[in-house]
Amino acid sequence: MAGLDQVTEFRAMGVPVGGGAVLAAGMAVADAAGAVANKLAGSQIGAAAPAIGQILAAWLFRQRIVSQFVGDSTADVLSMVSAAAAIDSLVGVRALTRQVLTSVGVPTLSAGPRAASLGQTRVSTMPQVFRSEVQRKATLTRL
Amino acid sequence: MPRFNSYTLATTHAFAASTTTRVILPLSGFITHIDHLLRLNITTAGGATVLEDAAYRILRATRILAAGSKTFFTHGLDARLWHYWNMHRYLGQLHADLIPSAAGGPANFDFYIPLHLGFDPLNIFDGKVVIPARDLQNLVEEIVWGVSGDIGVAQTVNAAGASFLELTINEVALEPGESVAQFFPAGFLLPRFESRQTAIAIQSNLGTEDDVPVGDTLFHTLVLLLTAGGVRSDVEASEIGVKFPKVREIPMQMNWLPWLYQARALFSQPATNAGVALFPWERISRDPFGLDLTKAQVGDVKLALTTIAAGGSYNRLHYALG
Repeated sequence: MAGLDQVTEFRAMGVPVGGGAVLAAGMAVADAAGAVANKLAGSQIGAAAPAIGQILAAWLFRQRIVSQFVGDSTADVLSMVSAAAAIDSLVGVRALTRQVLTSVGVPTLSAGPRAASLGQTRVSTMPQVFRSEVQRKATLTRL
Repeated sequence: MPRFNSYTLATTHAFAASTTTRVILPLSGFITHIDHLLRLNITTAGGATVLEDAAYRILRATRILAAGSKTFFTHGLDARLWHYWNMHRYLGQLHADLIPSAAGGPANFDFYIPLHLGFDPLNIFDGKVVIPARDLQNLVEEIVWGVSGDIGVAQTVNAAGASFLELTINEVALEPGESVAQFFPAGFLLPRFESRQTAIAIQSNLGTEDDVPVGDTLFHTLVLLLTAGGVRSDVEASEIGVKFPKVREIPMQMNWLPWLYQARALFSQPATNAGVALFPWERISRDPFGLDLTKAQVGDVKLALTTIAAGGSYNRLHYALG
């Protein structure tokens, strides 16, 4: 196994933990590719620029020189993430899926669980503004 | 789901002239409302008189106390302050038998005096403001009794168990497994009463001032003006107002009688109550929970009168929450 494949192919109790980590990192790489393309060609081709940048990144990860360096499995995952990001940029697959899930009553997570667990962002709690401490206590009393 | 309990205590405050009696309050839940039935067994002799608000004068002071110098209810003067606070909250619908001046008796005369802590007096189990009895020790209600002469001339209030104050507790008690945080996620509000009396001297332009209690949110103030003889009166003051000296503002300054008549209308009183009216601080703050004085200092807010006759007294019962 070459390059990062040892990490990518690491599994714990059959769960591809390493692949997941590389996938998460790949999202950032795909975002960066889209952002660079947008900066270079965004004013000429508009919304298509990020998608083209991400397709380009997907193609690059499948090139021999890259796949030999990062490993075949890792290159495959990174290419797949970039392709997914490109499709999402063009068609909006994630937003569409979220919309369908919401319509059948499945709640969607607005903030990442990591942020929530660290107490940085509260998930699914509407902010409330109270005029006074008395109002806050009285309003929240459930009797 | 917690339990909503109402029960009358077996122990009452038994009347004995000029004594202080104590009733131990239960520690089983959060007390939201206490019903008090004042029963006076009176024998009236010939040539008797009945003083104004006679029955309430015989309760010279009431306090609800707990260990650690915690006070949840108190009034000075006598129970007239408490009674008229109730009159305004319950639209005047409080049972009160008429004590006669004609010779007769002994006979029983009943008076209903509720103590409701929350914002909605019609909801007995309004848990917004509570006495957290389950978290307290030595919770008692203490009464200072007056004398037969508080009722009038030639009136005898019979003791020996015939005259008493009976308590009915209304509480919210949690079931096993239920936690305080489930029902009071932000904590509970505690009541704070302060009763004050100032001798009236003639003062123009809202010169008779009361520095209202600070540190909590002021909800209600009952204002009661008495003559030197202790009778409710409308000729002691000509104006009532609120002053914020630091910001040089007087958001309210109005003549006494329009304010009194306004209070009768606002609180649906069956008759105009001379010399007494409830001041809801919402009218100043525009917040239904009162005027937030948690960060204020003494003297920041004054409830003031223009007084025109000397010798009487300016009595207040402040009700704050925190």
